[in-house]
Amino acid sequence: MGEQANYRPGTNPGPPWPTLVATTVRLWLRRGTRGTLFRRHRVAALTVLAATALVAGGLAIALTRQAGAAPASGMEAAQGGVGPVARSPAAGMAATWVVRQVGRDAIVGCDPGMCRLLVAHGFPAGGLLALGPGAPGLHLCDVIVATPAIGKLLGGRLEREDAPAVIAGFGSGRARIDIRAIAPRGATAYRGALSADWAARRKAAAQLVTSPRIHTGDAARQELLTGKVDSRLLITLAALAASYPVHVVGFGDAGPGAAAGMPLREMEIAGTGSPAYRAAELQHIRSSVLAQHSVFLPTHVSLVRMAGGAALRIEFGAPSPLGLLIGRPVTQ
Amino acid sequence: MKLRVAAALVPLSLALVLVGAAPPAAAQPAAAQATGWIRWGNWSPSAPDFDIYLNSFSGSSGMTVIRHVRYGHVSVYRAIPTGQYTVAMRDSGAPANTPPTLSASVQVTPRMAYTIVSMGPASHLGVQVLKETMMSSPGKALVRIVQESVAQHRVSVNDGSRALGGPLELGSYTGFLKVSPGWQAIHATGYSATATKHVLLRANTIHTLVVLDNEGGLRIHSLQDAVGSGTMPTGGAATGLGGTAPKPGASPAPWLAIMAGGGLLAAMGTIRLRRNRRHAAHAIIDR
Repeated sequence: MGEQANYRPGTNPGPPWPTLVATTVRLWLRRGTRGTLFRRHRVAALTVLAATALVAGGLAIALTRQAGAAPASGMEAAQGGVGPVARSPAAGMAATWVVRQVGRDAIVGCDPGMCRLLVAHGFPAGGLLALGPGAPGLHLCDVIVATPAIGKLLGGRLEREDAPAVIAGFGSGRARIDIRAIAPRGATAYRGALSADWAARRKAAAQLVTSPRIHTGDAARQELLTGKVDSRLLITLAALAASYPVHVVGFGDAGPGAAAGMPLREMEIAGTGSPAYRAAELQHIRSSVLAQHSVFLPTHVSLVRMAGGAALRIEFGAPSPLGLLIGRPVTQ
Repeated sequence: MKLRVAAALVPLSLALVLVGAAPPAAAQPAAAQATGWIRWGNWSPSAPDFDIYLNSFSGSSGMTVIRHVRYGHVSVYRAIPTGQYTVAMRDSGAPANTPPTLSASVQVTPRMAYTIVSMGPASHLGVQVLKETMMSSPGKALVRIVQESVAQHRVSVNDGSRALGGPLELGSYTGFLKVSPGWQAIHATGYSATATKHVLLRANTIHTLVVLDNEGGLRIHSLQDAVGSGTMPTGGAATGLGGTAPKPGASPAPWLAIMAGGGLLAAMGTIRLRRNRRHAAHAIIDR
């Protein structure tokens, strides 16, 4: 982890080696022309310089290659000979998805190669936990990037007990990579909590759609009533409706390849009233949403242009916390 | 003729008065069914003063506001329509346009009571919803321990003869335990501080004992949640304030009898008065 934390793509590599060698030779020659030693052993000195330049050049080339190959070598070592999965398109897509969709307060477990790839994609190194043999830190994680290397490391227990729910999946066959939510108290407890959360989401949404201050289309209404919408979005919507009439344009982003029952974590809302008023209203809503803390602070809030006009897109990070509607404690 | 009209109007007006004064008997159980109770406890020693805002998901009821409560105290219970609510906080005295900070969500079910508590240090303020039990145990007191000491990370509590809970971490709490009624010495023990409180636990009552910080030590705060089964809680006993929760409606029969009697007396008085006047008029004519 320390190496990964220090790895900084795009850091200044210093002057190029040819320039460095040429400058060294030039300075040596300039110095030598002033002394008598160089004049006496000119041939020997030039030979030594040429040899030094050759050695330095070769060393520079070797070091450059080694530096470029380091992440791949690390991944291959971590994968235990499975293959360069971290170079695969699935790995790239998984890394991009994790960086964009996983909440910044979540701890992500990964094999060392995938951890390195995630850092290279911009995920904070402090939010990663490289898992080694036995995966002692698994219970500290919220999410795990289940690469084939992790599969080898943890075996069938991962899917069966430790992380039964897929929140996103990429690729297929042996190269498939799943992003899974960790079940800290085991699969049975997780399924029970997910089921209770789903029931609470349906119940809460049934009340939400009766609010005279919340307007939805048929599709959004159906998604609400069937309990598909993340509890953080429901709570945010109810809080916003206390101050503003809100038009819900739609919900989205359950994650590609997500298991059934994984909540939709993205919402687009539009203002009501005249176009001029709507823009100001969306700005107020944006400020209110960004003033939140902890689990109620979205990972992304952006103004987007849609066919019907401007809308505010609110996205919460994965994984969806369970039990918020039924009194789960929240730390600010 | 006028007398007949007046006599007819008396029971009618009496009926109208009764309709307005007495609670609608048929509607009362339905109203009780559609109501729960909520209160707020401030158990965060360093948090600033703030107010609590509750908004219903359905938007049917207005915003419920509970103004700031001092550390270690609990507000009185408030009746609240059932349903899902957002719980948000805002610093006391903050401008009205400052958005409240979402803190939790609570599902209020009929005839159930909840305590929303703020806990922990201000830098990591936590909000928790405790569901209260409404059923006491006949002949026993029910006691729940809540650990809210920030200074002592793990606290154990006993009543001298048996452990009531612990070691409990910050924010954790036990289930309701049956305890023999009477005076009990409750002991709380942290890693570097202890506290003892003598609490009177009456039979058929429900108590929450909260372990709090107290100037370098610990203290135990006793809350009486409810008395008897089927009776709604009436607020924190130790806060010195009574509850605002509505009590079961008394029978309207005595009031009806008094009002009917009053109406009858008024009608008899009117008749008597008219008779006297008529007699007086006849006497003048006879003269």
